[in-house]
Amino acid sequence: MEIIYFDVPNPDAAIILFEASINCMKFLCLLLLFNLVTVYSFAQYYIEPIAGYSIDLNNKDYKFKQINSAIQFSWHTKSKHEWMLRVQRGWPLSVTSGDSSFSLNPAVPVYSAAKKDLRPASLSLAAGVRLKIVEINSLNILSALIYTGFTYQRIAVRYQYDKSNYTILNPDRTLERISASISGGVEYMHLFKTGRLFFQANVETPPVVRKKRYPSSFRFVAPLSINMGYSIPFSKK
Amino acid sequence: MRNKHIKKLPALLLSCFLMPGCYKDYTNFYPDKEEPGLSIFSNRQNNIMSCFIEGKPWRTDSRTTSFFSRISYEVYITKQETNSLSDTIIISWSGYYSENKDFNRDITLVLPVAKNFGQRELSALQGQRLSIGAGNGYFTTNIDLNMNNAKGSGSIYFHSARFDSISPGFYSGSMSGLFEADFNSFKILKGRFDHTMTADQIQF
Repeated sequence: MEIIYFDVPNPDAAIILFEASINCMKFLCLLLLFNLVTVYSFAQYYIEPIAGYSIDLNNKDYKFKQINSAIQFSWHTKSKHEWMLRVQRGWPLSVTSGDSSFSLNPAVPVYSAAKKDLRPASLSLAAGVRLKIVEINSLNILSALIYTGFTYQRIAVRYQYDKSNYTILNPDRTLERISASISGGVEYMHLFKTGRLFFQANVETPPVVRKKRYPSSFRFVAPLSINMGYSIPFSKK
Repeated sequence: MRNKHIKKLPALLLSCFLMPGCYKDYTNFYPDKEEPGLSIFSNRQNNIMSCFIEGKPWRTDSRTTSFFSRISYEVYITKQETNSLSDTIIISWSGYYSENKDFNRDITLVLPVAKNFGQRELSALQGQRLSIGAGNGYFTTNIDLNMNNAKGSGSIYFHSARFDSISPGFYSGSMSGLFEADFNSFKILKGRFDHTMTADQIQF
C-alpha cells in the first residue's frame, strides 16, 4: 500500500485538529469569561493595540520576516500579575529565492533557474500572563510575558518559470498548519497618566509537524517579535 | 517446567500472527500539484517513476519488502551483448496506471553503449540529455497489447547517475531524471524518475 504524504495535514486529521482547537478555545474563553465575571466589580481593564516586526529563528536558508499587528485585552485586580488575551496577525513580507528547473527540449538549455516567492503569514490566539519582574520606579516596570494558545501558519510558495519547457527539481509547495503553541518574552512598560506605553520582545514556538512530511526546503516560522503597544484603560477601580 | 513453556505460547502465537504483517515501503510518492497524478521531480531517492501515458497517470510499483518476501524493485538495469559494434543497456520500469493497479506493464529504454561499458560507466550518464531514436536506442513498452512491444523515439535527461563499487564486481548508487517518448499511436509525457539503485538491480 502506497503512502502519500501531504504538506497540508490530511483532511481528516485537519478536521480533528481544528475541532480540538475550537473546543480548547471554547474552554479557554469560558474560563476567561468566568474570570472576568468574578472580578468584574473590582478589576482594572485595558485594551492594547500592538504593532511590530518579527524575524524567524527556525530557518537558516530563508530569512522570513513579518509585520505584526495585534489587539490585546488585559486585566488585573490587586495582584502583581495581569491576565491577557491576544489576537495577533503576522502580515507576510515576501522572500525571493531560486530553485533549479530542467528541460528535455533540445531547443532550450538543459538548466534554467526558477524564481520562487515565499510569503509566511500567521494568525494566533493566545491567553497569557504578565508577571512583574522589577519595578524600576513608580513609572517604569520590567515584566515577563508567557502566552499559550493556538497558531495558524501558512507559508505560500509561488514559482515563476517556463512551465511549458521546464520541470522544477524538488519543488517546494505551500504549507499550512494549525497547532498549539507557547511563547514567552520580556516587556518594558512606562506609565503615563492616560495609559501605558510598552515594548516587548517575544519568541513563539512554531506549529508542531508530523515526523514525516513533504520534503520542503523550509520549516514553519518561530518568530522573534519586537512589538510596541499602548495600554488604554477603559474601566477604573 | 512444562507450564513454564505453555505460558510463553501466547507470546509465540502472537509473534507468528504479527510477523507476516511486518511490511516496509521504500517508495515516497509526493504528488506534484502542477501535474496531478504524478510524483514530483526529485533527486532524493524516492524510488518512483511516474509519467502520463495518453494523458493518464502511470507510476511504478512501490518498492516493498515484508517478513516473508524479498524486496521487490520497480526498476532494473541490465546489459545485452550484441553482434554489432555496440552492446545495449536496458533500463526497465515496472508499473501500472494509477487508476488500475492490476494492469501491470513495463516501460523500457534500450540504449546503445560501447562493448567495454561496465557498471562503473553508468556514472557517465549523469548530466546527459540524450535523444533516443534514429540509431541511438529506443523506448519500448508492452502497455498497448495491440502493439507487440512497440518501439518509440524520445529523449531522456539523467540529472543524477552516481554509482560506486561496494565490493568487487558490484555497484550501487542512485539515478534521477526526466524522459518523454513517442510511439506514434500514443505518447509518454512528463516522465520523471528518482531511484536508489542496489547491486541487485544492476544485473550485468
